[in-house]
Formats: sequence, structure tokens, C-alpha cells
Amino acid sequence: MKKISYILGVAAFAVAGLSSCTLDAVNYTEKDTSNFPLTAEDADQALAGIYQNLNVPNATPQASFYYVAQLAGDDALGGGGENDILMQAEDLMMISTLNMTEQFWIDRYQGINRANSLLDGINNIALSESEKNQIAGEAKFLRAFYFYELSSMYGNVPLVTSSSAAQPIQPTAAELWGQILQDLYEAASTMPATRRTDGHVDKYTASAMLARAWLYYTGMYGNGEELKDLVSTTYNPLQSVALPNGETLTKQQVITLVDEAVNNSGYSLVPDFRCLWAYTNRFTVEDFDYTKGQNLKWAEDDNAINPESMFAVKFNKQASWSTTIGYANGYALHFGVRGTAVFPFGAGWGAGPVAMNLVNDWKNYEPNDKRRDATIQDMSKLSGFSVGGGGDYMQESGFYGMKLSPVEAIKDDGTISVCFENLMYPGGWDVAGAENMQLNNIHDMVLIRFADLLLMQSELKENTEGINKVRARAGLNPISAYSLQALQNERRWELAMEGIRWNDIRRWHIAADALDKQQGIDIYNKGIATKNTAHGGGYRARYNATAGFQKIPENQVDLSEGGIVQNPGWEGADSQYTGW
Amino acid sequence: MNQTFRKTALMVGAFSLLGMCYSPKAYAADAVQNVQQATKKITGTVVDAQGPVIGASVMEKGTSNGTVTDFDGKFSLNVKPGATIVISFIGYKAQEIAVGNQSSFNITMQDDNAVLDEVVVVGYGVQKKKLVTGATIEVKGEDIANRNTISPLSALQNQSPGVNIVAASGKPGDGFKVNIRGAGTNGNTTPLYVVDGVVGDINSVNPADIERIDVLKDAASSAIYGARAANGVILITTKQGKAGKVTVNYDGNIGWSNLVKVPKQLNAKEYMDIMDMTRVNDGGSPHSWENFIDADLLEAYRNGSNPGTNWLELLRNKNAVTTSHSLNITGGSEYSKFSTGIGYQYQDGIIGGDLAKSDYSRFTLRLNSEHVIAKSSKGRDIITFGENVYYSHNQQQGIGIGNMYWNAIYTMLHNSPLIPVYNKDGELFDYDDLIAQGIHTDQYPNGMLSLNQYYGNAINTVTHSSLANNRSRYHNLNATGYITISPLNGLTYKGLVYYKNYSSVWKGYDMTYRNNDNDQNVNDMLSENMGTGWNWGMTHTLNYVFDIKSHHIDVLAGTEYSREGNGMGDNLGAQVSGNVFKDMFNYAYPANFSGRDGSATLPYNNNLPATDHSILSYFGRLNYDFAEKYMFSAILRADGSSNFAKGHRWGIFPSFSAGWVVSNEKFMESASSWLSFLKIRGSWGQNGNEGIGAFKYSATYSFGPYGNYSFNNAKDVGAQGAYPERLSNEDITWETSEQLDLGFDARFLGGKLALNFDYYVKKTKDLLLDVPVSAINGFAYVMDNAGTIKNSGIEVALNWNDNIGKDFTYNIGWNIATNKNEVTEVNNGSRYINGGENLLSQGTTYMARFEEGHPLGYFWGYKTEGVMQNEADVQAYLDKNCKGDANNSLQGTSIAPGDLKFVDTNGDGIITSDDKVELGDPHPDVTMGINLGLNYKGLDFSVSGYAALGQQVAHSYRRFGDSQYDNWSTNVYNYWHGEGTGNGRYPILKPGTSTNMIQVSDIYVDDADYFRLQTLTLGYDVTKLFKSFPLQQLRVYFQAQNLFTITKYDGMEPEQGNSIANESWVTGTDISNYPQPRTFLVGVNVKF
Repeated sequence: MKKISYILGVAAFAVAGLSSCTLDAVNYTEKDTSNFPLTAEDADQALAGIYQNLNVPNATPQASFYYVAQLAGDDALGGGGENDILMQAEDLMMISTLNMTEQFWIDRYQGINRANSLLDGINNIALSESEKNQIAGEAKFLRAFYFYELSSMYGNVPLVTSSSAAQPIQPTAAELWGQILQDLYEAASTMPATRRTDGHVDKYTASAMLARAWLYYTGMYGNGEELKDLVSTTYNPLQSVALPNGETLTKQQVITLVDEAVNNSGYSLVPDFRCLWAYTNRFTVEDFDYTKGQNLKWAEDDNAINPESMFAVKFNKQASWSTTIGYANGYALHFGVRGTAVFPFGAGWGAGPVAMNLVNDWKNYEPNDKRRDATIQDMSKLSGFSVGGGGDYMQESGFYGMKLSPVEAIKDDGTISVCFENLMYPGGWDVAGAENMQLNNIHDMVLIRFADLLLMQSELKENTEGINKVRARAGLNPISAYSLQALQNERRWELAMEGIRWNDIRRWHIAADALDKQQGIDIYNKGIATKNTAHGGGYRARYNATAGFQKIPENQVDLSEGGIVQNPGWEGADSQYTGW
Repeated sequence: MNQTFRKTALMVGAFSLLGMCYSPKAYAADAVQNVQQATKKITGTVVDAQGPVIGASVMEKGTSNGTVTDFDGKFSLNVKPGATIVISFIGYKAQEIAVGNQSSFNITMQDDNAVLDEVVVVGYGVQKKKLVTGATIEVKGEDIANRNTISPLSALQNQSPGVNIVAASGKPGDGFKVNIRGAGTNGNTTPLYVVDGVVGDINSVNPADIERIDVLKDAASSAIYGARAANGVILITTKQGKAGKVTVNYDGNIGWSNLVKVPKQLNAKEYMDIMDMTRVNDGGSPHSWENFIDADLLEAYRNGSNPGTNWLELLRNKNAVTTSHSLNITGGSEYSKFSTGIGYQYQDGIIGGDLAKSDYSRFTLRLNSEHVIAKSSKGRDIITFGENVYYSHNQQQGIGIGNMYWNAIYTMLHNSPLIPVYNKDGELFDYDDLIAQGIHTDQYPNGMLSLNQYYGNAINTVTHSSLANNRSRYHNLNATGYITISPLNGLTYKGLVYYKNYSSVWKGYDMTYRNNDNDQNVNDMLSENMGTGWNWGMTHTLNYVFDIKSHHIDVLAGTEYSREGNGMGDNLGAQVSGNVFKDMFNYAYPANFSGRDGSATLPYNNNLPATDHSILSYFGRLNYDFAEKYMFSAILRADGSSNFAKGHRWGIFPSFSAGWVVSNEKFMESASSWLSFLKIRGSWGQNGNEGIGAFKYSATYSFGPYGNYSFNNAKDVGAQGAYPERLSNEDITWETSEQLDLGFDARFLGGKLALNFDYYVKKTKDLLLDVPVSAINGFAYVMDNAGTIKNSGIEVALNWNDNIGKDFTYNIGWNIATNKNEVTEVNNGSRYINGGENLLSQGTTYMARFEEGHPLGYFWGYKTEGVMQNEADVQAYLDKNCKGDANNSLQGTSIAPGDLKFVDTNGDGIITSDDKVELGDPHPDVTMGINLGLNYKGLDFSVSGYAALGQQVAHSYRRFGDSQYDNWSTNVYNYWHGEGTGNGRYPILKPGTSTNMIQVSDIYVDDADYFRLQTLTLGYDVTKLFKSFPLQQLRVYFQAQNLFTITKYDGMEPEQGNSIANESWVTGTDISNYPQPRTFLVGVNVKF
């Protein structure tokens, strides 16, 4: 009997055991499309996920459009150390590696996919009509913004507007930009007429972005879509654009929305231009010779709402090497002073030194412009910095951009804090803690300012209205009549070193001439005085070979199985930068 | 009979529930024969040279009547008149004795040198070795234990042809990279380790606890483990109890380890000369060193009275102690057997020393026992119960040796010799000291840092960061219980249930220090991760063995289920700053951090459950042989995995094998004088792999750290975001490894010479790859069944065992294996996958590829044809490769003598990345093992060696892409410095960002063939000196490990198993891996 009970035991055990033999695993950490997104809260979460893509390129800013726009443009050189051949390559419209900017391609399509996922599911979410318009408008805005950057960078990138898997096929520019403009137009015309100050974009931001996209597309492609049309020096902008929904978007519709945004949005200019920039923050302003004693107050001190900021990337203290460092402002780090910090400007990788041609042009055209000293730091005027001091710094010009730079502050005990944010937002720093020059730059990176909207209004309406408001803030006399030249100059000064100029010179068809001015200017390489010499045939040749479009990452071309054709100008030896 | 029947009924019931096929008819056909005829009782004693043989089988020939010998080797049996008895026991020659009129027998067993009746462990059972039709290797426990290694794998390395075992590094406690018959998968190539029937980890097992290791190489052998056997199976059997007197074994040793080979780095003077030359070659002028270095120190460097800092020397730990103690106690009776092992191992690192302690310790405890609950009257065990319990605790601390961003040895090797370690006050030289050096002018405001902003005291970096201040602790408990029920002869049910618990704690502590702006910690920080998980499973098998005349049939059916996670595991991590015990690693516990309520922050993903994962399997096996002459085996296994979507979960893995013992044929009898055994065998089969992690198939929304956004200027934390986690692919299913194996086993000259031969072709199909896809759908990768890898090769093992006279025995073993690895399909748009970016140096591009038509992870870059010596040479190069136009060269118009001749391999007249070719293969073409053993009376001597041939290593100990100021080894003198200088391979010395150096080319890829003398052992058994010694054995021994390595490779270590790339398939890169130590040890084996 004893044996039988053993056997019974085994049998019972076997039965009990098998009853728990399931192959269905439980996912304790994720949701799927059956239970997400269903509620307004879900929609907010999905929306945050789309916005977060604004942070993502901050992990590898050197691959991003904003960065390329800064370095490839005529106002800045490449810079960096001798190992930073990517920076120099971007300045020269060349490549340092075959997949130099692939991360950005991947990142932005991720943002687009997040927007598509929310837009696909938005009708399943319990939302009021205005909530839905706001949320859908934000998602469309961001999708359009991501495509705007991708298309400015690479030209005819595959257009994906649904979260179900698509094949990589290149559209025409008209198809691609039609979609971008349609998204922005729908966002601008359907979102509630309420200014948001919480970091969300609103109807007016969408109008401003619509204007930016309109001006770029209608200018850049005014002569046609071929390379010869794009690099032509004729400026002949389109007056209307066919949208994929069958409607036509006219310049007047854009103007109507822009006027409304200028007049009714509640956005306004910050009275003093310098108060837009972090070096006027309350922990630094009175220790910086240039700003002290003038009663300046940064528009974003202590999380104040900057009335001029229409669209900005927000950062926080959660940047972490183990997850994402994009929660910190990576551009500030990259555009910081190479080598050692020089108060009030923090240390960084020294990307994008200001090109002498900007300084000279500005002095010639607008000698009394206060914005120049507020935008460009002549390093020879700061103690503790030696221009041409050596190290491994390449394309050193002696001038740094001040708008993007990390900013230090002096603590009560007289020591220096690597980032003023440590003092303004004490405590709660994640991971590497405070006083980390790489992770503590968390002030906003403003992408659309009200001043830009004013200048676009002038450009669209070909009047002086917006220009003169901007000039007045800069302490300059109004101009009496609108001219394209005056508009171009005003945009150059007002928006210098903000990643705007690159697309401006391309759409105005003045890029090759403008870029060529960088050739032969004085620089230092590793402390040795020299000239900024031609590579790959020179700036003009490289622009005319590429129209300013980057090489599509080789991996992405290869992975498309023939769906994507490489941009012109990127196959030959003249596109390869292997070192100065 | 009644009772038996009821048992049967119960069994039928039980197994029907298990969903298994069971035929009561077959059972009835072989019902126990109750021998009721007239019989004769015989008794006897079975002994061998040492004494009684316990547990020997005594059978009446041609019947199932038999018994086993007891404690004293005695037996008694009733036999029919005229019977013949067969006495057999593993490891001895079987004897047949006609009973005749004799009723008492004294039988002396002879060792069976041919060991043909030896059994090997196969999946869920054992099989006679001579009947095995697959390709397996068995290694005895003593051959593993006597190597005195921490891990059994290093002992296995040269005894298992076809099993590629490469030490990850020489760092104490580091593991091994193992693959069987070539890397068959992009991901984890590690074979399945089965410890006492349960999937486990070999590295935590003390070699002294191992009874034997069986390696199942071909698909047919491992097919019974279908689910996870794609990489082959290694079965580890720990020591089990034996009936008889309690024996106690103690093995203890102590040894001293040292670093063998160090690159000769430049001293301060040489360094300055080379830096000057680099700068001059780059168009500058020599450095004015006085700007950066104080005059007296500079003078001392220049006149040689101060050679500068030899950084690695500071971390060198001379005569690092290693010690091991193992105690095994075995014993038991006919009814109850046990085996207990306790072990402790400690190994101190050869690099680290007092500054950066790097060591490993392990404690193991094993409790195995088996109890017979019911025995038949014939002595057969009807019900047995047993358990295996294994607990291990190990601790590893020490220097980081990963990629260039995390490698203490690298940090030492590339640091400038100009930087002193200590300042005048005897404190670590830091930022203040660096900027205090030299002449301070506006142009050089920062002293030494004016030369190079990355300069710093490497000892500061290492000792103040978690590069040295880290510790891992692991606890593993494996508990297995099993019951076997054998209701009648030949039929056995085995049920096994196991529970495993594993937990780990890792902590790393960064202290405050400042070398320069790029290398400093302003605040201290502790990072700590803890995890605990569990895994349970059960196996039921039913085995029936029977003979029909000369047909021997062995059938097995079984089911298995395992599950881990399921809400019973947790991972938790924390990071905190501000230790009250500032900069004291041993006091770095979160509770000691200031602002105890607020500053402790949990990073994202701080608490995750262990992944839920289960596998359910059904399997069956038929082994058949006819007169031990013709063998056939078939296996079918069906596995379901929770890692795949419904409808794609189940994989079916069949295998077939057959063998022919030619030497048992009549026509071979004439050859028996020289050919004692010859078996020809062949097999084909499939195995699977599902190890991709859970939910890879499904479209999910994650709430992790990559979706938050700081609305409302929330600077502390972003608003919770949600985002699609991956590109879903519901179609993914099992990866399948398919293998064909043809081989033979032969023994010659009365068994003195053994030869084993195998030829195999292994194809891993439907590789589960995180394959790059066009990123336009939001993700750059998708998990897919997207590739095929083919491995093929031959394996030969030769063993010679003989004696000269009575006292002198010797054996020589030699084995060789070849393998050709080729990726035959990459099923994505580009047909390749790039890997190894920023691997050789920061700034280098992808240098390894996973591409059709090439070995897995081959080195990809430019081929060079030497260095241009003069202008004519430059023109000749351009004419040949660049259509005569310097614009088409990689160097551009500045091309000049001293530049490398990058070859235009595609002949288009332009040097572009299209000219990049295969520069090398990290996998060896051939591996070889050599073993020699001599015994003379109590003296033993053995040597073991291992060779790996045909592989390449990509190699740089400098972060050349970052800065020209990294130190060089004396290899720098092989660089070109004028026509006819250098060794013709390396270009003009310029900053590492120059085209010649930043482009990955064959100048970084070296042959790394090597032969290593692994161990040399000399031992003597003191008991042989005395006639009556109280101990059975008292052997003292001396052993040298890694006595020498013969290689042309000029790095520290040609054996490169450390994967430092982001991609696990990128191997064979040496940026300064921790070398294998050379160890001398003395030890003692005691047995009583």
C-alpha cells in the first residue's frame, strides 16, 4: 500500500503540475493596441511620447538637421577637435562616414511613427471635439515638423502617414511638401484659438511653422525639382501649392493665419534682445561684464514664461547615460567652449565657431546693431582664453556664438558652477548628479520665436511692418521700404546662430555665393594660424553638387532595396572628408 | 501479480494524463517471469585489484535473473542447473563463468582498457558508448579536476575537439565564449548546459564536483533537447553517491600568478621625441616642452634620470595568490547513497593589486543523495528517490575591462608617461598639479593641460571610479528532486522537479576627483542593482528497454515544462550621491548617503519583473540495435515557447541516426588482430533556438524612459509618456539548426590506439536576428527569422594508451578540429549588417560585418599594399589605383610619400568604401589539443596544450582617433620616417585622425595563431612509499599553468573571447584585454 501511495502521489503531482503548464506569458510592463490609447489620459501620454522625440536628437545632436544647418550654413565653421572630423565635414558639405547622420534619420522616423500611431487611433479615444482638435493638431504639427527637418536635410524622403508598415518609396517634393503643408494648415485652422504656455504647441505655433515650411518649399522649389533648379540663382517662389486632399493652399491663406497669429496670439517680443539668452539669467548676469549693472532679466528666469518663445524643446534633470541623455540640451554642450570654460560660457565640444564673414558683413551693413555683441562673443575680450592657444581645436575663429552656449554661474562661495541651472533648479538631479557639464544644460532650446514670425509676415506680405518691429527692439531706425535684400539681412542678424539661416539662403537661391565667403578666411588649426582652405572642390562646388541636401545614410539606401536613390553629389571622392 | 497489475493501471492513468502514448499491451508482453523451477544457490565475491567491487551485476545468462554485489562484493543467486553467469560492471571486462558443480566463486574483475562497455550520458538517460550513433565527447571528472582551474570550461578546452572555448579574459571569475562546431547564430552561441538533468550554468560548478561531462555535438545527439539545443548541449553530471565505505577526498592547492607579457610602452623621453615627430610630420614644429613641464622635471626626463610613468606597472600585482579547497564525501549502502561536496576557491588578479583590488571567490555546496524505497526480491530497484542540491555564492570585484570607455588596462596603457603619479606632497597628481606645471603665459594658461586637455592621472581615473570600485555578488540555488519507478524489468518512469533561485547584487562607486574638465567627478555616486529570479520546471520520462532475440529496443517518451519569471522575480536599481563616508567604497550603502530622504533617486526602469517565459515539450526516442552490430535511432521533439505568437509557438525537431559496427562482422574477424573495433555512423537532425526574450512578436506600448516630456517646465521629471516599443512581427518563430554528421570510431592494436573521426555540416536557418530594416516605420531593427549560417568541418581525435613493463603507463592524446564559417543568407534589404563602430578607437567606422558569403563578423576595411616610399612610388600608386588622379585617392591631393597604398580592389579607379574587403576572420580555422600523461609507480606527469590557428585579431591599445597624445608601444618605431624606413607596413607617423590611420585597414589586423602550454603537472603519491599507510591516497603535486604561449601576435594575449562591441557577433578585437595569468601552484590530494 505504501508503494501505491507513492505512485498516487506522483500521479497527483503530475496532474497538478500540468494544470499550470501554460505558454501564455503575462506582460507586466507594457500595454498593447487592445488597451491603449482609450482615454484622454492615454492620449496625453501618447502625445508626450511624440514630443519626447524633440529630445532624442540631443543625445547625438551632431547628426541632426539643426546642427547641420548651423555648421553647413555660411555663418559658422565646423570646429571641434581634430578627431571631430564630422563637424568639419558638415561645414564643408562632405561626409566623414557613410552613415554620418543615420541616427537622425532613425530618430525622426521614430517621432513620425509615434505621431502616426496616435493619429491612427484618435477616433477610438473618448474626447470632446475641441480636445480632439487640439491633440490631433499637435500630433500633425509634430509630424510635419519632423518631416520638415528630414526633408530639408535629405530631400525626397519616404512619406509615411500611417502606423502600419510601409515600403520605402521616395515621393516627389510636391507630394511630400503637400503633406507637410496640409498637416500644418489643418493644425493651424482647426486647433482652439488658445495660446499655450505649458510647452504644448498651439494654433499660432502651427501658423508660424506653416509660414516657415511655406517659405522654404515655395522658394527652394520655385524653379522645379531638379538639381539644376534647386541650385539655380533665380528666386521665383511658388504662389500656391496643391495639397494631397485635393485642395489648394494659397499664399493668401498662409498670410491670413500669420496675421491672426501676430495680432491675436498673445505672443510678443521680449523688450531687450539680450534677455532672450541664458547668459542674462539672474545667477550670471551681474558677474558678466557685458551684462552687469543694466538691470537685465532673462525671460525664462525661474521657469518664467518667455512671451517670445512659440516653440521650444524642453529639458529636465533626468538625462542619464543609461537611458537617454537627450533630456539635457545636447546642443549647448556641443556649442560650448572647446577645452576649458571661460566665464560665463561653459565648456563643450567647440562646434560651429562663428565665421569671420558674418562678423565682417554685420559690421559693414549694420554697424550699430546691438544684437551683434549679444550674439557673438569675441573671445579675445574674455580673460582666461587665448585665441589660437593650441590644443586640438580646429577651424578656430576666435568668435563663439552666445545664444546656444552653456552658461556658468558663480556660487555664493565664489566657486563656479558649470551650469547656472544647478543654482536655479537645485536638488533632484538624476544619476550623475549636479555639476555635470554634459548633463546640466537644461534651459529651453527655442525653435520658433515671435520675432521670426514677424519677419516672415513681412516677407510674405512684402511690407516693413514686421521688420520694423524687430528693428525697433534692436534699437535701429525703421526702414522706409521693403526690399528682399533688407529682409534677408534682417533675418540674418536677428536669427543668427539659431539654425534658421541655412534654409533661408537655400530658398532664396543665394547659398553658393554666401557659402563661398567662408573660403580663405583666417582660422587656427591646433593653434597654428592658417586659412580656411577648400576641400572637396570648395564650398560653392559642394553646394552646387548637392543643393545642400545631405547624403542619405548609406545603410538606409541599401536597406530600401532600390526604393531610395542616393542624392546627387555624394558618390565621388569629393564628398569624402578624411581629415583636414 | 495482482499488485503488479494495479500498478500498471495506475501508471496508465498517470501517463494518459500526461498526454503520452503508453501501451499496456507491450507491458503485458514482458511481464515478470517468476522463476519457480528447480534452482541451485550459488554465492561468491567479486573483487578487483583494490578490493571488493560493490554493485557489480551478476546475471544468469539468457535470462533476466540476476542480482548485484553487496557492500563486501558478495552475492548470492539461484540459478538453473547448467547455467552460465555473467558478471559485469562499468569499467571492467565482463566475465562469463559456467556454474557447473561449483557453488562458490571468487571472481577478480579486470579493468577494461577498451572501455567499450562504457556508457555515455545522453539526454534523459545513458547509452552504451559503442552503440552511440551521434558525435559525442565525454570527459571524466578527474581530467577536469586535475587541471585545478576555477571553471570546468578551461579544463575542457583542449579535450573536446569541435568545442571552441575561448576565455573571455584572464580576469578572475570572468567566463568563456563557447561555441560547438562554429558560431551558428548572431546572438548567443553558448551551448545548453544541463547539470544533473536541469538546465543550468557550468561556470558556477566547482570542477571538483564533476563526475563527468558529455558534449553532444551533432544534431541527433542533442535533438532530444530540441528546444534550446541549436548550439549543442553539454551535460554535466555531478558526483553521485556510491555504495560502500565512506570515502573522503580533499584537494587543496595554493598558487602564485603573474602577468606574462606587457607591451613595452615608450618612456618620457621617447614619448616626447615621438610627439615631436608626429607634430613635425603634421606640418608643425616640435613642441616647446618647457611650456608644459617644469624645468627640473623636464631635465630629468631628458637625461633619463626619470623615465616617466609606466602606468600599467603600477597596477601590476606580483605573485597574486590563487587557492582552492575541495572536500568530497561519498558513501552509502545498497539502499541509500550520498555524495557531498564543499568547495572554496579564491583567485587574486594579476592586474589591480592594492590600488584596484581585482579578485574572485566562490563557495559551493553540493548535496546529492539517492534512496531506494522499494526493491524487488531480485534486488532490482523499484522505487528510488533522490535529490541534487547545489548552492553557490560567488563574488567578483575588480577593474573594468570592457570597451575603450570602460577599460582600466587601456586607461593605463595609453596614458602619457609625462604625467607623474604623485605630486611633491605624495598625493595623487591631479588637476591643480597639471595646470601648475610649465610656464604660464597667455598662450599656455593651463600648464600640462595646454598641451592636451585630456591629460590626466590614470591612477586617479581608475581608483576613483567604478572602474575599480565595483563588486558583484551572486547566489544560486538549484534544487532538484526526482523519483524513478521501475514496476518491471526494463520499464522505468522518472519524474523530476526542480526549483532554481538566483539573485545578484552589483554596485559601483564613483568618488570625487578631478583630472581635467573631461575626466572628473564633482560628486560621488553609488549605483546599485539587485535582482532576484526563479525558475521551476518538471520532467517526466518513461523508458522501456527490451530485447526480442537479438533485437535490442530502447524507447523513451517524455514531457517537460519549465517556467521562469511569472511575477516571482524582481530587479531593482538605485543611484545616490553624497556619501556620509565620503569616497569609501566599503561604506557605500544608500542609507549612508546624505539627505537620506531626497537624494536617493531611482533611475528609470528601476523595478522590473523577471521576464515571464515558459517552454512546454513532448519528446520521444527510439534506439534500436541488432546484435550490437546495426544501430538506428530516431528522435522527435515538439516544443512550444511563450516567446512566439500563438500559431507560431510550436516547433518540431526530428533526428535520425544510424551506425554499423563493422568489426562485429564475420568478414572482419581476420582483421581483429589489429583492428579491435570499428563503427561507422551517420546522423541528421534539427534543433531549435527561441532565446529572444518575451513579447518580441507583439505590438506594445511602453511607459519606459523614452517617452517623457517636460510640459509646464517640470524640470525635475517629465510628464509620463507612452510610445510604441518595437516593430512587431507576429510571424517570428523558431530558429532551426540542421546538422549532418558522418563519422567513425575505431580502436586498433588491442585498444591501445583509438581514432575518432567526424565530418559535419551545420546550417542554422531562420536565424533570429534583430535585423536592420529601413527605419521609415519608426524602428531601425525588427526581430525576424532573417539569416542562415553554415559551419562545416572535420574533427579527428587520436589517443594512445600503453604501458611499458608493469609500472610504467602512458597515454598520448591529440585532437584537431577544423571549421569553416560562412554566412549564407541575410534576409534584409541590404544583405549585410554592420557592426563594431567606434570599436578600435573612438572615431573609427564600422569594422565588422555580418554579410552573405563571408564569415560571421569578419573584419571589414581597406586592403593596403605597403607604404609609398618616394614621389615616383606615389605616382605609380596613383596610376595603378586612382586613374593617375590624386583627387581619386583616399588621401586626396595631399597624398605624399609615407602614405599607405590603399588598394582599388574593385578597379573603378577611385578609392571609396566600395573598395573595403574582408581583412580577417576572428574565428580559428583549426583548433588542436594535445595531452600527454605518464605514470610510474606513484609518480605522475602530465602535459596539456591547446592551439588555435588561422584567426585574426584587430588590435590597438591607443585611442588614436581622439588625440595624437596617447602613448605608444615601441611598435611606433616600425612607422615610416623616410624612404626605406619602418617595416613597410605602417605609414608616416601623424595624428591618428590622418587618413592613413583613422581609416580601418589591414594595418590593424594581425594574425593571432597560438599554441599554449596549458598545464604541466608533476605529482607523487606518498602512500606508495609505505606498505601500510593509513590513507588511500596522499598525492602531492606541482603544476604550472599557462607556462608559455607561442604566437607571432604582439599584443598581450592572442586568446580574445571578450565581446566588447555592441553587437555580440563582433569578436576578436583587442584594445587591451586582461591577459591570462601564468600560475605555479602546489597542492595535495588526500583520500581516505
